[in-house]
Amino acid sequence: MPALLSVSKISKSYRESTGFLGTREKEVLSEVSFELESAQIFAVVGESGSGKSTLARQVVMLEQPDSGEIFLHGKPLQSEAAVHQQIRMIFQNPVASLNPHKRIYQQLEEPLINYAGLSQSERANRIRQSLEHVGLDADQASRFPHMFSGGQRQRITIARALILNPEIIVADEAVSALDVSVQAQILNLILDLKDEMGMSWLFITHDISVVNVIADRVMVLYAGKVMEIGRVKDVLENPLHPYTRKLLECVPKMGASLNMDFNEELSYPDVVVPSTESGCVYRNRCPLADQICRESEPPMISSANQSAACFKA
Amino acid sequence: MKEIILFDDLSNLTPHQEVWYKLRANRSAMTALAVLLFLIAGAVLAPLIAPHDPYEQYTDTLLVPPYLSAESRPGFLLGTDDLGRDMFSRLLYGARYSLFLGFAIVVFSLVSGVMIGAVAGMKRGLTETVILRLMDIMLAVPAILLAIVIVAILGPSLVNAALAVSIVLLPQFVRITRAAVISEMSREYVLASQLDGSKGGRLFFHTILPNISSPLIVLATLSFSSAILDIAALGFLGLGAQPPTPEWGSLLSSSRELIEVAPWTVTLPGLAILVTVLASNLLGDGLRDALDPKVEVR
Amino acid sequence: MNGEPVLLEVEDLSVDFELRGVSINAIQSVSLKVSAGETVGIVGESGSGKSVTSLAIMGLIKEPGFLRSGVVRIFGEDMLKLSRRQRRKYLGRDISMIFQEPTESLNPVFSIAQQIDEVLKSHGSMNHEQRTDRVLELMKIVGMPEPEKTLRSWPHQLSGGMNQRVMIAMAIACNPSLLIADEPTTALDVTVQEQILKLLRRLQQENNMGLIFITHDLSVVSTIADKIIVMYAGQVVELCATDDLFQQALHPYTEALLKSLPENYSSANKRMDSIKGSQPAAGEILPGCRFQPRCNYARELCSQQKPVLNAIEEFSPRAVRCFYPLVYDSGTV
Repeated sequence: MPALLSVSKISKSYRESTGFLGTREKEVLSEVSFELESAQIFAVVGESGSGKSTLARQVVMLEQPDSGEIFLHGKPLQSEAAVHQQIRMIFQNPVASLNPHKRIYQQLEEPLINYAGLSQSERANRIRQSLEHVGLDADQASRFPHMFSGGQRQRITIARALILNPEIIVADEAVSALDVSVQAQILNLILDLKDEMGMSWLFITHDISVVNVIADRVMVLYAGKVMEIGRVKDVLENPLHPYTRKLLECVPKMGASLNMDFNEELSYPDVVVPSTESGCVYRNRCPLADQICRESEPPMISSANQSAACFKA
Repeated sequence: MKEIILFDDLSNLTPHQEVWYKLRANRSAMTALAVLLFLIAGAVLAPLIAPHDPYEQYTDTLLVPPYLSAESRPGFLLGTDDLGRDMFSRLLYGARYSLFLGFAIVVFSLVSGVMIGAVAGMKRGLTETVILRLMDIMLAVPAILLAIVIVAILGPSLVNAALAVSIVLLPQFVRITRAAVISEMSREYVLASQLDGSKGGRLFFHTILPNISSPLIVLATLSFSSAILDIAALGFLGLGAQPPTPEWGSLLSSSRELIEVAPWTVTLPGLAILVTVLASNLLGDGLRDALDPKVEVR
Repeated sequence: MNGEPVLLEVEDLSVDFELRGVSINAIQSVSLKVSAGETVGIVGESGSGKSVTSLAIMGLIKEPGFLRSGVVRIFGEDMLKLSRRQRRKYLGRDISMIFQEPTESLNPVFSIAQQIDEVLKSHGSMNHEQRTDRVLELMKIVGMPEPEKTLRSWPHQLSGGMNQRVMIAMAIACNPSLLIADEPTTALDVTVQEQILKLLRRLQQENNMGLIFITHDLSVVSTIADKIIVMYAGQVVELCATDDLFQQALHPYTEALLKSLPENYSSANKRMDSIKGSQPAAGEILPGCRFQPRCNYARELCSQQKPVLNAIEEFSPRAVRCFYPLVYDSGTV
């Protein structure tokens, strides 16, 4: 049986200007592949420039990848209407993703009006249900977004995503802009919804510690390429790729003080290797890099439940 | 520096109530609003208030000065002009022309400007370029000159003058709408609406328009004063209202030579134009502040 | 810190905001002390008042904000009693600040060299050549790769991490005794954050500088601070040496905050420990403790009276604002 969502070797480039008259192609995603099963939470971890948000845009059909394919239930993504209903998205900034001039029920009603073909009272019912699902009082639906707190607004955006009963929800940094205590509430909500409604989540984040809480499988992206992919338990306890290890090291842990090696401080340059150069894209930051890493791109080396794109794995 | 989130983010007023609350606190804007309402009332109720017919010529009371002067006559509160017509009545009826025309012009420019600007902002590409260049050409010609050319082509009449002024005011609405639409298109809630299946007209009217109304409202208010001035200018040049229509601009024009002999025939229409334009500008400024979410009221 | 001179003493600082005829309390009775070479972390979620505190310390509160009470002593002198011109002598030179969004905080139309030069010009008496040397030296001190090239660049050409290094260079240009860092690494990637934290710590150690580190991230602050102040709804609820805090938090909010960190997730329940309810709305006045509605340990007294910040001498520095602080390891407090 095919996976719910199958992303196969997608690549995407954008034109960017290099000074006065020149432009060049910047490869933002390069041959990214992964699979998402039903009732599964799949985390995509990456820092800025990793391509994770671009990946989200491809999956919801906001853009088309330059190469590669995306399959939903084994069939390529074709109809925008179908994708809008089956793969919904929530964003990082709950303030920015709600229309300040529209009441909550109007914003929740919009997808229903466009796609659901229900009568007005049926719509009102669905709106009520959706809000209750995310723990909000349905009587508040006639209010405007600014009358709610950040955490409540994020719940509203989740209600908007849920309202069409999608199979997949793409959460692009959905908890990154929230306070820690609110973040915990929203993570719990996502887990509850997954258990109750059985949808899958594509959870995009830069925070690897959140991955442990919420995800079943995780993929680590760097400069548009997949560095490591596997079950959360395996990747976090036994990372194969040096970048994954670096991410895990860098997460400040309570009670641990900083390693004050000055040389180490300088040795992590800010520059990412452009995709036009040969070799592994992580090589100029990798402590294990050597000749072969500079010459050719590493293949995915797999063990039982994990794969990493590294010669040294 | 990060903005400190405070009271207004959790206020219990709807966006419209917020605007009204802030506007109410602005005294000059409220005064201006009162003045405008007063003028509009005068215009609407002209047939009831005006003591005389504005076209009636009282041949034995030519050039009578207004009330406070020694030689004033009862029944002619603001004096008469060189054909014995009551100034007060002419001004009242003139208000109907000027205010109504101003309003109609703004509505026409607003509606067509917003449509064209929306198309430019949402479609981008060649369509946008063509529209923008067309607007640039129109803006490159001095407003009055452009209006004169259009009226010259269509023939001098009040309707044609109004049309000409509408066309002259159009480019500003197009540009502002286009710029606002482009900035809106990058917002997350617009993206969310698109992912909800809204596009084209529905996306514009339902999602985008409520959020770009602020600069448009301000421009409309300020254009109102431009419209009145331009109509008056055209009237003054004889290209708009034709005598004996008591439009304020043509009142100015027909009494030009009398400025030394009977100054009230010139200053009163001029004053009327001044007050209206000033009031609408002050109201426009007040609205701009009230609509700006970053301007807070103490 | 023992033996070190006290750089900054804040006592009983309160700030209100007056909006629409209502007076909203932003911070109340905030006190803290920073000695040379010490890092004090101020931790709080949004709305806790941590940013207002740093602005108040710098004397940057202006309408509609009003300072209701408080003393801010820098090197023994009450800053708030000085005129703006007198205060300006200190700001940027003896006490300086860095902010959250480095690229936004830099002027986009000036080169990096010009911006750092500007700081030196306004505070020092160096001539052009001396300034040029110092600017290059600063770039090297903050560990900037390719310093000369960076100096010729504009902020938008550099990454967030590099811009934050520039901000730090500008902040330490005149060798301040105290540096206030308001969420300096929140907008940065975690790998870059580590570098910036190390840089700050190193600068502090080399110059015996005092550092106030403001953040919402308890884990970050634990790696860099000597003592931590936890703020909630405008008040200081707990003050503690860093190690002691993670051994045992005394205030229910601190405990709840620690538990809701992702790293403390226990897969047993398969759920996070979250704090019920939400922060008091701006302007909401509670009769008792501000945390009481959300507190798992609240008792009757808590909704009736307001607790004050009690210093616990035996375990100094330690203070907690609670009628029933959580039991300490060695028995009741």
